[in-house]
Amino acid sequence: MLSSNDSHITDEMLSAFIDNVLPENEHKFVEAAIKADAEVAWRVQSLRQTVAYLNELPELALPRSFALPANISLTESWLARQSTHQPKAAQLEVSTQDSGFWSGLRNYLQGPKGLSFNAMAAAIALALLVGGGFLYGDLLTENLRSLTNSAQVATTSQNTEIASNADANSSAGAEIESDAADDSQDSSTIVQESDAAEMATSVSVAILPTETAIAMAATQQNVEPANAEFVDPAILTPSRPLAQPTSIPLSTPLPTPDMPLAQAPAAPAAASAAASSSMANTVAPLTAQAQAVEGITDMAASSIERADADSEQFDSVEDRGEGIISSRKIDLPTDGSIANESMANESVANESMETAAENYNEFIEEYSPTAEESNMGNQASSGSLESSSVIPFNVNTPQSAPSGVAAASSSQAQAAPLTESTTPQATIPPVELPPIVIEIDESTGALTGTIQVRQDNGTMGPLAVAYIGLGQLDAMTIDENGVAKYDATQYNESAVRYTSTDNNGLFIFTSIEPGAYVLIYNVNGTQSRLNMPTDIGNDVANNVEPTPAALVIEIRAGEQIDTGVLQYEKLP
Amino acid sequence: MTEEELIDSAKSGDVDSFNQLIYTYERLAYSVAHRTLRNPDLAADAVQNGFVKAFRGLNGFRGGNFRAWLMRIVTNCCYDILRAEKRRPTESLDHLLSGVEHLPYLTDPQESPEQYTSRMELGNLIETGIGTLPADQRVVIVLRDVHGYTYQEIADITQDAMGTVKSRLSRARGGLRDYLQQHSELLPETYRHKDASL
Repeated sequence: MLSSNDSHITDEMLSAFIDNVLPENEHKFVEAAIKADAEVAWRVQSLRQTVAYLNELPELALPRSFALPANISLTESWLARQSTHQPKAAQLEVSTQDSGFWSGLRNYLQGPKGLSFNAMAAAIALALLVGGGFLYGDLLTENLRSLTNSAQVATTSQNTEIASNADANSSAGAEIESDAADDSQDSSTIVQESDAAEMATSVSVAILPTETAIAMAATQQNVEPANAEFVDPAILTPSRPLAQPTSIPLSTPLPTPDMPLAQAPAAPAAASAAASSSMANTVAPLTAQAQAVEGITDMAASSIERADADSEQFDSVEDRGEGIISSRKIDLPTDGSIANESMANESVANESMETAAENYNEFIEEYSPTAEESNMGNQASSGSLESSSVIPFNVNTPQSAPSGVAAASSSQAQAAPLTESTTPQATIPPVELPPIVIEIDESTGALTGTIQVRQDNGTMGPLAVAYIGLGQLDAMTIDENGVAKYDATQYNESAVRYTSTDNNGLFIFTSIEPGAYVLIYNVNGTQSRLNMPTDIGNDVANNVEPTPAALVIEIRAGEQIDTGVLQYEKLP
Repeated sequence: MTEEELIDSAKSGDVDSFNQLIYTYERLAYSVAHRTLRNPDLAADAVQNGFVKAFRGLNGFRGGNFRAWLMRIVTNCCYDILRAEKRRPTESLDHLLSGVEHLPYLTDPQESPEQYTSRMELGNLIETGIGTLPADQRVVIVLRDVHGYTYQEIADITQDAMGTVKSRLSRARGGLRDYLQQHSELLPETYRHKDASL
């Protein structure tokens, strides 16, 4: 930015001047300055020359015609094909084979919400993993084993889309499992970046609704359904238990089967149950959820037991994991016999689950007053392979440590009325957020501040969760002394940017174009400009109505302005 | 047919009518996209996607300035691509190719080789200078100073306040002027500032 002896003549004024859009008084002011100051005259001339050069820029030749074909198909996939640079292109191509429902879900997941959701899940997974979740390496192994078994049983009638995607996802699960085993042996918390990313994906899948989880699995892997070897998308979920806290107070009573999951205390198994239940939700519409639930129940409970017991079992995690991985791929059944296939899969899985089942039974006998009910539920559901209902899924944020949530959730899932209309819900554990860092680029500024207002009890308190706007002032006048002044009332009400204060009354605006601004307080859609806080005490003492001055904030490029604490006796 | 008639016809699904509108504005759209994105392929994508989206959303056009409405869609496509490129920065390999298959500028058969070379050098310098500006400033300065849009049209296209448009335009002009000052050997004497420090 060039300077001038007359500091009131800005480039913005000169730019408007050469376009003849400057108000008359300012136009005359600039004209006078041009005559009086050679520097100003040169600035105007150079700007005019720059504009002239731009006006003379040669016209660009078209590389091709952009006319639309007469038989244009106005679908998203057509759009995607036209643009190889659009990030959704490949995924949209896949969606052409799907129904509108799947495409809609897929687009939703690929959109900003899905991305932010995955990013949040990744952050949570990383934070909790570093916190010691690796101790559940064998839990992960058991999860994989159980889920693989249950998924294989459950999805013999699954359509090829899910099967194929699950096949592709199995490699991710295998990597996670192997890495978990390695981590267990090393007794370290090092998590490879690629593993973390996969786990983050798994977390997001685990807490999504049934259809969403399937759609996401289908979206993330672009595979050919015809070549599918079945591995269930459940493989995506086992990483979630790793992201849970490590303390497992086994002395906590198990919740009863009729206890709402929302009231159940928390434990690492809670996440396992959530993941498992979510997985069960995923496969339930397919027939044979009963065995899936049984495997999940065994998995969760036995994993808790072993995690608390000793570290010797970690030594065998890798071997067991390899065994599970090798047994994961099973050809799709050709006769369509769900029962036969289910029994076969059950026997395969039981070979590797024997220890887990024993541990679980011991655990249930020792700690669970509802073990009988749980086992009864398992047995009852084992015979109902034709069930196609969805497990009610309502996992809220657990607050304390329930070692038996997995069992409770499984038994409850089987005992409770089954309905497809139930929407699975999961609450992500709270994570301490890092301090807010405001990034300011060279061309914009930022504004922060805190607003307090007199409370009913007479003390100053934060203006919490209130809409605060930022209105840019357009009108500037030059007084007789040549001083630029803004009219605080002249802002475009339709172009006010809004943010919300936090519980402490803090507001933050970023990426603000340089200029003069006023703060706007919005109540029920009514905009009111905030003035400078007044010392009402003196005014009251003098019996004089306060006459606050306008609060105008000038934002400069690359600067962050902090208004400090703005205290108001009352707000407009 | 008038523009309004073409629009009405296109709203009923007549692609030919919409293509007539495209013929009118495609050069303008491509020019803005090219100078905004600094990449001919991305610009072509933005323009094509913008036209398709415009055709699909034509029923949402409630009258008024069709050119501004169309350019707003194309400009938004440019911003989408810029955001995508920012997330996934890539390096074009086009500059490694020998030979130029497509000249970005139209040629004037009446122009001498010297004039052509001089014009190209100055044009390239200005284009490079435009490329140094932030994207939002590039859009504004191209719309205003290259294509002659009014402030109000630019505000409609970019969906920014008038003050923001003015501010961006002034900073874009100032930035481009400063850039050209650094390469004043290609500029006329009158353009060079007496004080080299400025």
